[in-house]
Amino acid sequence: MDFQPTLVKTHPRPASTKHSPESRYWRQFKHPVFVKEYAPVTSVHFSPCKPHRFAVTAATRVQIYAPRTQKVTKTISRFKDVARSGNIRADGKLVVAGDDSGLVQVFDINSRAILRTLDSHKLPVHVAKFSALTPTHVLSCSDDTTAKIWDVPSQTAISTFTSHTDYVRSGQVSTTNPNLVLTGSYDSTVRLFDARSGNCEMVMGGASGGGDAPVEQVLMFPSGTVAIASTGPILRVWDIVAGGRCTRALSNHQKTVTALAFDGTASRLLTGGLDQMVKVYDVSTYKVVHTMRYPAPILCLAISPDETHIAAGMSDGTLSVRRRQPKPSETAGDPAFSAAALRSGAYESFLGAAFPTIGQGSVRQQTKSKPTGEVNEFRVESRRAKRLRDYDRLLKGFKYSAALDAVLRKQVPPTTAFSLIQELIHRDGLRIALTGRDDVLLEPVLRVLVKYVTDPRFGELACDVARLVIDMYTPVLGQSPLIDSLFLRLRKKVIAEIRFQRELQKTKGALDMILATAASLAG
Amino acid sequence: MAASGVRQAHEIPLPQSPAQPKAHKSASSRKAKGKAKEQSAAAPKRRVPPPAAQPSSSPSWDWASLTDSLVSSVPPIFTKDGSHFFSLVGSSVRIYAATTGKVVSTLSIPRPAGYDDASDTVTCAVLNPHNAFQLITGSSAGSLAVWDFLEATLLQIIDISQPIHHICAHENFKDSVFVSVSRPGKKGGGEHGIVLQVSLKPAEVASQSTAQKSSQITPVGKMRQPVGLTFSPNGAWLVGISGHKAYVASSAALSSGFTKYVSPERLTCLAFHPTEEYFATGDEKGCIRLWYCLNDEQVHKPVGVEKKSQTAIMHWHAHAVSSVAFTPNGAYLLSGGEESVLVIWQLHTGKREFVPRVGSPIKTISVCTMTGGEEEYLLGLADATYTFIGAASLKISRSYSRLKLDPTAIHNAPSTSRNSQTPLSVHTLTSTLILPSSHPSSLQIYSPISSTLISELEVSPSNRVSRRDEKPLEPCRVEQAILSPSGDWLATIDAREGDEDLHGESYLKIWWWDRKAGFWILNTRVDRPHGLQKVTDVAFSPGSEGHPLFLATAGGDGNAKTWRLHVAKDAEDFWVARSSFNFQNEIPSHVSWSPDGSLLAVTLPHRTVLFDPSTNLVRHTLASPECGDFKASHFIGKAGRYLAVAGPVDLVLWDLVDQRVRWHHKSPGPIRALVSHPREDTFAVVSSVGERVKSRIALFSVNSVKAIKALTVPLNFRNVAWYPLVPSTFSLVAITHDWRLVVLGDNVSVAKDDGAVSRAMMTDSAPQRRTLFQDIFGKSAFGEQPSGSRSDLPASTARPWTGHDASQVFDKAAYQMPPLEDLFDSLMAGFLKPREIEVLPESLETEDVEMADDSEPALLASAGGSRQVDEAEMGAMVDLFKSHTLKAKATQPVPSRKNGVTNGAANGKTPHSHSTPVRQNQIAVKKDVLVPAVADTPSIPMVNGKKRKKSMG
Repeated sequence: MDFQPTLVKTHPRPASTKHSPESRYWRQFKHPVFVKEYAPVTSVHFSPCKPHRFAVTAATRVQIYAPRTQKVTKTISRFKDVARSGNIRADGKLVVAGDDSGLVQVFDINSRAILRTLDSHKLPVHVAKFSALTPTHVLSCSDDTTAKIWDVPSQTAISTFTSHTDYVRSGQVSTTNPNLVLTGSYDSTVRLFDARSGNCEMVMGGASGGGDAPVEQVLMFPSGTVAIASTGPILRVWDIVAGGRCTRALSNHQKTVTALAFDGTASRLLTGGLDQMVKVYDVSTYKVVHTMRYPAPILCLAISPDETHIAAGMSDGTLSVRRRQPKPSETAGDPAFSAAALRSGAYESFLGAAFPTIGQGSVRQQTKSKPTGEVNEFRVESRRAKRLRDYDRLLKGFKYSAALDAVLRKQVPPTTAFSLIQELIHRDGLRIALTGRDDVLLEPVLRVLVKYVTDPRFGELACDVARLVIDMYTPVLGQSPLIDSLFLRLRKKVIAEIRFQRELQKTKGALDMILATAASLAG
Repeated sequence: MAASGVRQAHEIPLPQSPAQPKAHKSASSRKAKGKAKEQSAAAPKRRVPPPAAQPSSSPSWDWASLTDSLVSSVPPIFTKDGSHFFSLVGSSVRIYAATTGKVVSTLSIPRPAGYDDASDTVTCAVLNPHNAFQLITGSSAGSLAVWDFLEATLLQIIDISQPIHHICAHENFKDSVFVSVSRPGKKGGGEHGIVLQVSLKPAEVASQSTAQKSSQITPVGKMRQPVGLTFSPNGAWLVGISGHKAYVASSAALSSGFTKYVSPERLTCLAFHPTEEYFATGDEKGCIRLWYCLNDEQVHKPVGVEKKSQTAIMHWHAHAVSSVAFTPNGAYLLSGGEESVLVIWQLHTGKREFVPRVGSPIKTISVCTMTGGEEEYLLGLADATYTFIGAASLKISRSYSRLKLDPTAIHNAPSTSRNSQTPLSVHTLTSTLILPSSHPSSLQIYSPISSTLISELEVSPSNRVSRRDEKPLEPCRVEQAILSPSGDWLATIDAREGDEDLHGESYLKIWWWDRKAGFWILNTRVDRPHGLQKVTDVAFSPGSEGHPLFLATAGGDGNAKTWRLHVAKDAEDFWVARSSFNFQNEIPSHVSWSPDGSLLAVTLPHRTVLFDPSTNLVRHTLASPECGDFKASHFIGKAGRYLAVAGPVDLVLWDLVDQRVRWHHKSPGPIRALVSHPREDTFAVVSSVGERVKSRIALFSVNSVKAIKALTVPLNFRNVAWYPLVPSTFSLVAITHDWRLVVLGDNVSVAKDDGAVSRAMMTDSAPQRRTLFQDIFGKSAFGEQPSGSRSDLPASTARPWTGHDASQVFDKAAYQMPPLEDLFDSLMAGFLKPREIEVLPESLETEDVEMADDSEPALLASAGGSRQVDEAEMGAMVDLFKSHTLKAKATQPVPSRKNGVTNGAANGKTPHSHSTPVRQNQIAVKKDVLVPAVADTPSIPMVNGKKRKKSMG
């Protein structure tokens, strides 16, 4: 019969997203930097190539931010009207943007010079984007119900799609086929155009099924087979391969969803809405795995391709950039600096000893070669004695007071502390553990009690312990201001809790009456 | 002790033994003196003859005790070779094999008919110092018995008519033992003990009767309530302890009586140092005292004066020391007590080592030296477990546990005021019983068919620390253990009572039966299923199709709850609360399910409410105002048409279809339990009758208010359950108030424990030890014993000829045939079956005999066999060794083996077929008493005698 370590009780929790690995990951995007613009931020776009600068469009300007410093590096202010949809080309050298006058301009990102002017829309252009596969093409969608594909060198529209009957407010060129264009319009339809035929090949939503709310945003998976469109607060998933079937409709936002974005691997979908929330969906289940709150309604949202920055533009003109410190293992993912390349030895000979990161130790092969033996060899497992936790060790030596001290430290979770207190009660040792403490030793006991006396998980036990402590230490009250203040805090907290419980009882009574009335009416 | 007390109160129509009141008195007064560890052994619970002849209306019903679980507080005694040990349990002596822990034999005194053995307990035993194969036992009924334990025969009984407490013997006192007996005091409460020297020679007048009188009884000295009596190893001193005093008498001058030495605390145990002249005692406060008072000038002072003596004190124990023992080399002292820690004191330095957490409070310690030379400590624990601890490693090497029901042995302050429930259920998948264990926080699983303890299930794992102060620790108690009908789930309720400062705890735990591993695995734990109130009842639904498996609980908070199995897709299944409902805030006392699971009957004090378990809607409310508070309600019959509701004394049977009372019965005593037949329309009502220890079990049918059968038994039950393991129309299993497990019902027959009968030890004690020759030459040289070979021979000769295919060779012309040398072996193989080599040891001499003869087939195969050693060769070797090595000691080679019974010839009752060899130096002493029947046993081979001599000597 061996010593049995203290059994730490686990308490059931409501399935909160607080502590899932997913939410831990998204919580790493910390330290939001707020940049105040003059007008609502209408668009944020990250450059697909390193160093992933991002273009922020607000008022009549397109600003290029450096992600590392989060400062403006370039400001392009060549528009007369409100600029929209600043978009950086895949090579990171050109920027295209439209404005409310219908003008679309292509800039050089470094010199900020206007390279091309695409001017045939007569109404505001809300979308101006480079095609991902054909870098010389630009898609523009306008409030004049048309969408056009432009050839940048010749400044001419190659195709014009006119099937929409209302503002076209969102659009995207497919990332698998440069001829396919997905657009969403205020006529509540999402359409798939083919530049080869010049016609609308697929209509999703509209009167046929999507309701009649205007389509705010569309987004196509990198595979090009599934599209996501937001109509009002509802998010719909359309299967393009199946001929434009709606496979799922999600309504997790309270207000209109205005921004959609994929993370780097398109395994998570981020949606931002006017309800000031950004929600993260797992695209395999379309369940919300994390929610982020923002101070104002969100108009646009982007996540950098290396998943280190989340930029969100809000209606009050604030740009919020959240940033995550990538792990060293992630940064080592750069193919040029991969371990294999380093291991070959060529790298060092090219760069000499000047390369700074070569001494990181990541060069060494991680997997040690294991000695291989006979297949049928019987291996004697080495039994390692289980190490006891320090409080268990003290408990084993019947040092109850020290064991209690060991679990009252800050970094010990309260479940452990109260499980140990329970064990002390079983051993009839709680009084022994609590007696003979001076103010320094009593302080952690009282702090834990103050913290958890109202916690439903430990309420009974904390109350019992508190009663014992009060019984034992009432005679010495008034000798230490620290202890006195802690006792007062304990009392205050208990009083507040009692008041709260009373409120709850009142509410319960009221609810009971309402339910009873409803039941009698229904009956 | 309460058990024996209450047993005497009931009226068994048997004549009272004359020794009985005396014994009872002595026992109770000992209890009054606070010697708690004696209680369990002194309380005899064995009942040999089930009272089939009970005067009752139903002779076909019967009851039998399944097992008795007793703890001995007398240290086990080892045989000289350490291969077996004797444990005194109740009225019998059990002989355990030290290596396997099995009971190989049980010595019980044959009782004359009509003898109530309830008060007769074997209290002490000692090996005969002159014959290592004889055991002398003393019983509380006042009889000394001499046993030959090898043959399990009772050689002699000497009745001294006074309760014997301790016995000791020494070589210096041939044919006599020293016993401490008690006789009732003149002034009621007090009790005088006395130490007697009892001669084992029978008085002439009584020599022919079974219970003989001793020829000579010499009183040595008085001693009040002795708790220990022993000789010093050299036989110079006789020491006893009792109360606060140690009594010392010089064996050279026994007539001068005892010299008393005073200890400040009450002494509890005694041990003598093996080589030096001092002894150790343990006392109630946990001190171990070494007494250096054994010198002549100290003792030869006037008798009767209480003196102080030079002592050394060793203190570690916080509670009473229950046993002390010296190691044979005298370097270490072992002590143990309630702390469950074996303390090993190095006497020279006073340093100590510990073997902590042996599992249960230590009751006895004895030291065993196996012939292999390895020393082991045997701890007898309070939970009826024997644990061996290797002296070298100080680790528990093995431990043997037996069924143990009584928790009071460990927690000697039982909470009698609290009417705690006792878990009991029958697991039909494995045909095992789930019973409470010695520690209230665990259950034990017992197979009644093989009468073995399968395993122990720790429901609420805890560190079994001992109490700090006098107040006992309050453990978590398992209150209920309910099995699902399929046997896959077990629900247990374990609770710990709170006190004025701290709230209690209660847990509902649901265990899953792992069919592969054959054990219960904790699946779900629910903390405080009914808040701070206790859970009054638990029941599984039948779980038929259409009605999934539910669990219903009723609690003191007025709620009844149902729980369901949550089937998770990728995780383990677990139980979750499904619904909670109450009825006018009355506290439910019992829940039960209809056989198809469509109704849930919740018993409230004044009514029984039938719920639909799927919707929680009230279907019916049954009330019967004249009945008093309802306690339980059970569905009766396969269809569950009837509902039997039990009140304090009333029994009401409702017909649920007619919705009316079918009949109403008033029981003669308070109803304790109600068990319904799972298939038929009958049920049994257990009620207590009259005085405290009598119960009436009545079998009712739904058709009539008159009981079909009734049986009155002198037992009170803690819990009763349906017992499906015997083929019987109606049978129950129950735990009685004195912690016995009994079976009641039609044709109950109980398999006795293995080894519960007395039998000769050597015939079946399996591990034959290696002989000296085997040690020298290796075991393989001697092969197997040739005993089995004879039976093989006829089988092989009768074998039909199978050489037909080989005979085709002869069809050819002679010159075409292969040479005969090549042909012979393969041809003969067809005729003869090769035999196993080792079956023919006598082939040694006949090895080079001509092999042509077909009629001697056995000779063929042994040609290639290894060399075998037969008995003749062995004999030659024995002679050789004797003549060369043992010349100095060699007396005549034992021509006549006699049993070592001194009065064997005179005692007509003694069987004479003993083959017990006696050590050779003893032969010379007793040569004059030859038993005429020795000639009957010449067939014992010489080798065996040698072996045994070595092993036992």
